[in-house]
Amino acid sequence: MNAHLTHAVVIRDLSRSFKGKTVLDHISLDIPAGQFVALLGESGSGKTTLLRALAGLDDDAESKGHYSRPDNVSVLFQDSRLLPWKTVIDNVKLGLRRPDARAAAEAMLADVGLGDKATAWPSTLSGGQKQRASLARSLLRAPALLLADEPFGALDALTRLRMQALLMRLVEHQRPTIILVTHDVDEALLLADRILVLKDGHIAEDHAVSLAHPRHQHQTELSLLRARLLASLGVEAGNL
Amino acid sequence: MARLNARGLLSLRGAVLPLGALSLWWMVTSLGLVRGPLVVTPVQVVAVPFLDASGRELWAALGTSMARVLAGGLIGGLIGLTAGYLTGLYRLAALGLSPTVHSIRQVALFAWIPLLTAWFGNGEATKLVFTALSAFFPLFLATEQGIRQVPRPLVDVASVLNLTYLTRITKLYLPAALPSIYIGLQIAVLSAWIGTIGAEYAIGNGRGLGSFIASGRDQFRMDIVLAGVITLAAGGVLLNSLATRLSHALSPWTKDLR
Repeated sequence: MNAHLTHAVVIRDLSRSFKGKTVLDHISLDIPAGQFVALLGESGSGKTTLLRALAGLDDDAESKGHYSRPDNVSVLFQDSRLLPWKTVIDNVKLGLRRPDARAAAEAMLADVGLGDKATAWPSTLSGGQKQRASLARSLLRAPALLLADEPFGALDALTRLRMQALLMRLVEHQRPTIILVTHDVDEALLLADRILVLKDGHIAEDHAVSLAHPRHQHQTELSLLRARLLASLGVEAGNL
Repeated sequence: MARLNARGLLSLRGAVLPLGALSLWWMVTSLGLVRGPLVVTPVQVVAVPFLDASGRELWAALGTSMARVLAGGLIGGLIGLTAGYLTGLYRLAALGLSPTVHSIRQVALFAWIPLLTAWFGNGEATKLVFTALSAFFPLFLATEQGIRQVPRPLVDVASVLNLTYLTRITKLYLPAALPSIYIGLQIAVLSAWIGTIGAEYAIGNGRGLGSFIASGRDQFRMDIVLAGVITLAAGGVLLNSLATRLSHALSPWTKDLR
């Protein structure tokens, strides 16, 4: 019982299936508060399903097992999912019932570098700008748990690097627990404290990454882990 | 400027056919090629709403019809919007209400008139109910469709952000359904206009553009009938542009997409 107090997320024997097809198979997992977890896995390994289960977005699944997580959860999707009929700032503060919501949203927009886009329509933003607005919407709620489903997957390589740096800078103070689903082994290596590899609906590997930030790709510990992760994902690094 | 002029000229292309028909009509009647008690010239038709005692009734008739179409259209439109919202969002409402409405919709609109006059008499009530009915169906269908097509990813966002029920309606479902509702609104406005004029024409008594045309026909006054028909068309264009303006004013975020 005591373990539950220090863990932000506790998952026990969690299974999910859709129309009889098992996607998550008896997953058990403890995540300490403030840990940054990257979830790697091939397409169809169940990464997104696990994230949607924790977000409470899988009413249509047959569920078994249980989990506990903080009430204050934000979700960052791959697409920005801004409401096209709301200005950027109205999107960021959507549903916030705080008297200072507007001022806080303005400050958060300035933080993500969109201070001058507050009253713009989402359709006028670039892909990277939309994702910044989406990040601002997620973090304005000061979540205890941030669930991110390949949030930078659709961005070009340079924008992705900038967004990764921005995310690290912003969560430095808030220190939420983060679960980041990603295809990108380097992204996982650069950002996460812990890397999980999901295979056929269960956790196949669990690695701690204790290197301090900022990291860069050529550090030996990362290179070794990269080769291992790529191999477990079915890619022979030597062939590239 | 050059571009503006070119565009101005292009927009005049649409006027070629009506102007040609008008010239032909004017030539045929003023040269006396066609004669008879029912033949009138364009000039007579234009003059009759101003110079003729019976013709001057056109303005009051137009005002009455407009008031009727707005009142009836508003009642029917609001009911259609509400019903469409409920059947679009709730399975229970869809199962309970949709089959009935979709069946009743198959009845040709004007087939309702005998029944409505039996229920509501030959007065204002029947005309209003008929107009409301004409506006109801298009808005019901469009709203139901629009609400059903709200993108699932945005519904997920609403649920992740813990939006209240009221916020979900006003900030998610209704705005997301607006493009579909606008198409419904344009059809509903014209349908209600046709319904108003049709009810006035079929019932015959009381004031209104439909009764105005009917009485012109009974007096064999083709100038009055034609002036009425032209006003009817102008009224339709006016209502259509009102609906478009309303749509645009309510959805400023589509300005760049128009």
